[in-house]
Amino acid sequence: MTPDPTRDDISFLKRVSEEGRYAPLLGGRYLLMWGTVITIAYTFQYLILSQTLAWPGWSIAAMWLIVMAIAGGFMATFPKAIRNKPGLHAVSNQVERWVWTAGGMSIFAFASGTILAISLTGASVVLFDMIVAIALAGYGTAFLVVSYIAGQGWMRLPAIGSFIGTGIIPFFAGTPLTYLVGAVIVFFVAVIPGIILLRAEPAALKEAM
Amino acid sequence: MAGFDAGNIDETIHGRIRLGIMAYLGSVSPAGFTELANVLEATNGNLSVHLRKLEEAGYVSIEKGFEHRRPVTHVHLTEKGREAWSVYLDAIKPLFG
Repeated sequence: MTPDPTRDDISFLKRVSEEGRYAPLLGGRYLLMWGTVITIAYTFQYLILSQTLAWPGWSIAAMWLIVMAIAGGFMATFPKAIRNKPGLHAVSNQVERWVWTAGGMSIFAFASGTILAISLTGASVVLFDMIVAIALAGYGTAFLVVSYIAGQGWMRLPAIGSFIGTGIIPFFAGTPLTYLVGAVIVFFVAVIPGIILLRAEPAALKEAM
Repeated sequence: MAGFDAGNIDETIHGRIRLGIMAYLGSVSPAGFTELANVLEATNGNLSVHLRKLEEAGYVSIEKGFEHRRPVTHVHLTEKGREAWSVYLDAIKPLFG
């Protein structure tokens, strides 16, 4: 059979286009890190609020400050870890970066507003519990968008899990269980997908030319 | 092949490696030099030659620098390149019905 150069070229072009279009996602370490620290923090928050741990109430605020400091430290090292990975600037990775940033900003805005409202106007502390629901709505949105743009159908599962979590949390709001339920959900919708993404990441390239 | 006009084919783009460069940069821009060479299965020398032609046409821009004391080269698809790629795809569309 005679080789067909046109067919070969079209196959080549299709492969190259798809490698760009469906470049491996590079957000796994972010998801794994945030998922892990939040799962641990929610678990401790449950243990403190339920008085399983006899720690004072202010220890929750101190714990979240420590969590943010640890997460900030990891966040500072991650860009270096992925800077030579293929597909870093692929549309899918740019969308993943921005949609998760938007989710993070939504959580930060709601958490800041909650702290101010409780401190200044005496709003209900139940608002704190709703941060979990807002965060899960952000996760679900991010997973659904990235699933579509990166052609990663399995990401619809953590998206659905996150949205179900958003709907479930109000039933537990006002009780310590909010945080135990939140920890379990975050483990399944952030830690596990983070591990899956990290395992699928390609090796870094050594730059040349 | 009604509607196809070979005169509309941009010769700067039309060529296996250069087509591959434009196709990849269409989704990943900027792309690292090594990243492009790996995806296109091209040697560094061959890729450099083709990139130079695209750069001369203003379709790509090449940014050289250092990151953590290591040389890095990033290839960007320019706005002119994106338009040329779009026109090229329109020109060959009639070939595929």
